[in-house]
Amino acid sequence: MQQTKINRKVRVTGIGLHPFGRFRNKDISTMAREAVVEALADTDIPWNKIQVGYFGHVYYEGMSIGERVLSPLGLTGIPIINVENACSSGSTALWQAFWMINAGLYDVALVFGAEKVPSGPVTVTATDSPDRLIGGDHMMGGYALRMRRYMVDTGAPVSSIAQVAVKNRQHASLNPNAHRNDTYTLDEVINSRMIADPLTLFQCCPTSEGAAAVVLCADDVMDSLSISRERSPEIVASILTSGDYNGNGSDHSAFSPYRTEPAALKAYEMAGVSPSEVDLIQVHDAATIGELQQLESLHIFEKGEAWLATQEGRTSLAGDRPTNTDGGLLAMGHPFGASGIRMIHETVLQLRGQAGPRQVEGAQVGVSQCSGAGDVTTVHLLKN
Amino acid sequence: MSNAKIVSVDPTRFKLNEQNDSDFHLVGFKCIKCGIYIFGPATNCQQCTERQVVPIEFSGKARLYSFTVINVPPAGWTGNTPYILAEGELLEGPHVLAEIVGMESNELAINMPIEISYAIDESGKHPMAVYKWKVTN
Repeated sequence: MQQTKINRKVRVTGIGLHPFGRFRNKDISTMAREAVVEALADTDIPWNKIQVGYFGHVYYEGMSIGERVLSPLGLTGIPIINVENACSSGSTALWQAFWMINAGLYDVALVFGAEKVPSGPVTVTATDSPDRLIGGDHMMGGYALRMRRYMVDTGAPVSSIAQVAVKNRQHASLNPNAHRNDTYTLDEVINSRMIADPLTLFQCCPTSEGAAAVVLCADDVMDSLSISRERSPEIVASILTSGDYNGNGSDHSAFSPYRTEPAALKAYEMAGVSPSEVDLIQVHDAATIGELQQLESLHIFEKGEAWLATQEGRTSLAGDRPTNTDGGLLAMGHPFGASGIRMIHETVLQLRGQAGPRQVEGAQVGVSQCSGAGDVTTVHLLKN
Repeated sequence: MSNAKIVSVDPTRFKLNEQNDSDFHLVGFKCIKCGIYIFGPATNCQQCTERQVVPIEFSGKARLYSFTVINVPPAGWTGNTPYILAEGELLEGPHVLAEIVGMESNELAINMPIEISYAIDESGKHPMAVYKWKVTN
């Protein structure tokens, strides 16, 4: 039986973030620990109240790294689980923690994620995979294939798709934690170095280093821990799906741009929320085209129309469907294991009204969608 | 020309007849229950999970679903740069990613007929037959 029923309310009570960027002289454990310490301080509970920890990361940094991150905080003996699910590792860690609390196994959980992504094109397979010789294992190549097909199918010009990068850079310019916070004009984005035609460099997210952490708490123990509900939005939906057959073979990212849709529909059903009620949107914009197709998968816009909405400014901070308010992967950056948790960090900041110059006024409901290679998709809905 | 045995880049996806180098196929399975085709290895049907899937050779005929010119290749790529990566939709259904050769990108058009071919990669220990798309004449 598939579990989508809320037995127990779960809230995000604390958030922490290590800035995203390049930090050559800082190891992953230090960055992760800084985010964790910040999240614990934010929720104002001591480390020894945490009952379980889930750590999202992808690249090999030694075994049981989550344990090494947390051991300087004190050896409390709690289960610490290392989670690898590609770019959805952090959001998968969140999903696991949510459902463990929902099921009643734990009351308070720490979810953290960190990464130091190497420079250069991102590949999914092992270095000795035949795909390296075949030439198909190229993350941005996959997005470029989708982009060309989308342009043919919808009539979208390159400029409307590239506008996503201009917009997300503008959002990041209001965010001191972003990897890239300088802004670009549309011409600069379109004329930046070609990576995989028609995707130019500034339409591809940077690979980054950074960390994020959140503390989850069951609503029914918050009084005994003296945690405020006012600054702790509820997770009203948490859905994770893997690949399905899509009519043309495996549901690979290059083949199925709308693979988020089933997860999104389940999330709306679980939360009892309709897409039109969502005030705030964070999606997996590893490339500009990704943001458009995720917005369509989430039913924020009709299929084939997100480019028009972007062109009209509807997805900017001042628009009616503000998307990737902290800069998204394109400008905030993409340390794989941290990104899914970073989206929750931004959503909570916004729902609390603490997002400063990029605050979306009156935001009450936020959605976060994170994709991962190997056909992973997560959708989380948070509500004040 | 070396006499070393030519091996397929991935025998679970591409089969080359050692005695006849013009006899080559993309390979996979067909489900006896729901009739769908699967490119590459499978123990069960990807759609209905039926266990009885039978090995098949694909026609190799496809239409060009999409393509991109890769200017910055991934680690492990031994071919020319830039190269054109194509997504072909086989007549039988599955999509297959491979380099498309013999054409410039400005000569390509979405939905044009393409077919599978191969080229020999000499970069490794053994000559390797790597499947490629080409535009159908």
